[in-house]
Amino acid sequence: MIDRLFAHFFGYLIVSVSGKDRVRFLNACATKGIPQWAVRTRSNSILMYTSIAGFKAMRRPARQQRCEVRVLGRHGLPFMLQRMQRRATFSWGAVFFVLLLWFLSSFVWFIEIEGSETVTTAELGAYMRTQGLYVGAWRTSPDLDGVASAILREYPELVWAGISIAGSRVHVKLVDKVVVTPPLRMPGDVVAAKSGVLIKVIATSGQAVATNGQTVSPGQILIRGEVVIEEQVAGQVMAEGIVEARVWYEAFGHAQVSRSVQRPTGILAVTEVVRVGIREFFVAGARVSPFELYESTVAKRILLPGVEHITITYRELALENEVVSVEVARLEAAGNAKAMINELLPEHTVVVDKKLTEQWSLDGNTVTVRVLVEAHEDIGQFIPY
Amino acid sequence: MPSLKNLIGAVVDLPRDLVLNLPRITLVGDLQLVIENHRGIEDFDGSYVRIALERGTLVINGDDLTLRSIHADEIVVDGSIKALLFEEDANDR
Repeated sequence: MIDRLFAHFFGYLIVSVSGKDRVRFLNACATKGIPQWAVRTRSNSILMYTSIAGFKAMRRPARQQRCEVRVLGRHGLPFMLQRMQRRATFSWGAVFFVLLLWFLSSFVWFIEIEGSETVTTAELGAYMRTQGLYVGAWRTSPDLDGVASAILREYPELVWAGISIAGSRVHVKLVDKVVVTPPLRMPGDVVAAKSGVLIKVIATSGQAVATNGQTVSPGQILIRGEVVIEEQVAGQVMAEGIVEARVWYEAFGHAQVSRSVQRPTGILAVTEVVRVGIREFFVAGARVSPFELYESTVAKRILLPGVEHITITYRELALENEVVSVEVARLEAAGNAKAMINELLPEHTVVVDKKLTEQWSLDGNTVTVRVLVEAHEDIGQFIPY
Repeated sequence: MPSLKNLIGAVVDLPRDLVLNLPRITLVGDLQLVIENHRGIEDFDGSYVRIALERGTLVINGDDLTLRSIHADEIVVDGSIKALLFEEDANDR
């Protein structure tokens, strides 16, 4: 590896040695310490690599062994510099390019701001401009710590600001202050949010005015926000407690025994569109679906930035009459009803009982399943005075 | 005389290659062969290399053989090495 680096640095030649005693020539070169490497044969000659000094030193043994040494290639830094001397404009262009790149990378080209929901990017960008940090600024001129401190002074809603620079990209990271407000404590009652039969009433603050087993309706006071001492109201407090009740939910699911369904006929129509920016060019196929009843799928492929190839496939559908068994219709209706019940049930509700009853329509085509669910849940809702 | 050198080498426990002026040959798999203390190249082709030694000739047979480097005391042969053969000189027999 080091040898190769040296060879590139000082230059090396690929030479061809021809002549009857070319093998003796190799031995003579080795004896004189002339560098030679990657030696291989080619028809009636030998190809090898040698240094510039080695090539000069080869003249004598070549003459002695009556061999002809021809240069096939010149490589390495000295020859590259030689070529560059001949192409001065190119060389100066390369130097100019490197200098231009260095010069352009000395400016701030991008500013990324993240982390704040209270301070907008535009607002902060305008402020940082006044502090000397903006797109186009000399990247070493702004004092980043100073700008970060200035941002914190200007925006008290921020708790931390950090600015780092990587290449020509400035990264501004902000952290908003989080103000923790204690929960408001104001006097008020706990009332029933929905109808039900109470199974547990525990007042941790205030006076319970409802009892277990009582049927309550929405808005009815369950825990009153009062402090009672010796049957006298001594003051008002925020009523708190646990109020659990048996609550019922009801839903109906329907399904038909004889119904019309949409089935694909197998006939397709494909439309191909090329979208350039906001403009669309129809390449093949109809502009609108040739079928009255259809379903369609759209596949997009990006050809170039801003250029998309869109393939719209229309599948024709036909209405068909389908008759299912009573059992299938009943299961479908029950499934629909249960799905509706699940949407109605709030989170953390304990379902204690579920009853399904079946009803048929007058024409005998529609089956309706009623689901009645009994659940235990907290129905208390705080209402301030 | 070599037998006397051999005997002296065995008695004083010296490396044989130093005492008997033998080549030291290192084979790396079938990819590379390093020969130290050689006496020059006798013949060379892509399929064989003949290297003169103190006593006899080493013949290396293989495919795509190249001489990675040639120095006065060391030769490195690269390629797919198939066989090594030591030929004795007629004078040594």
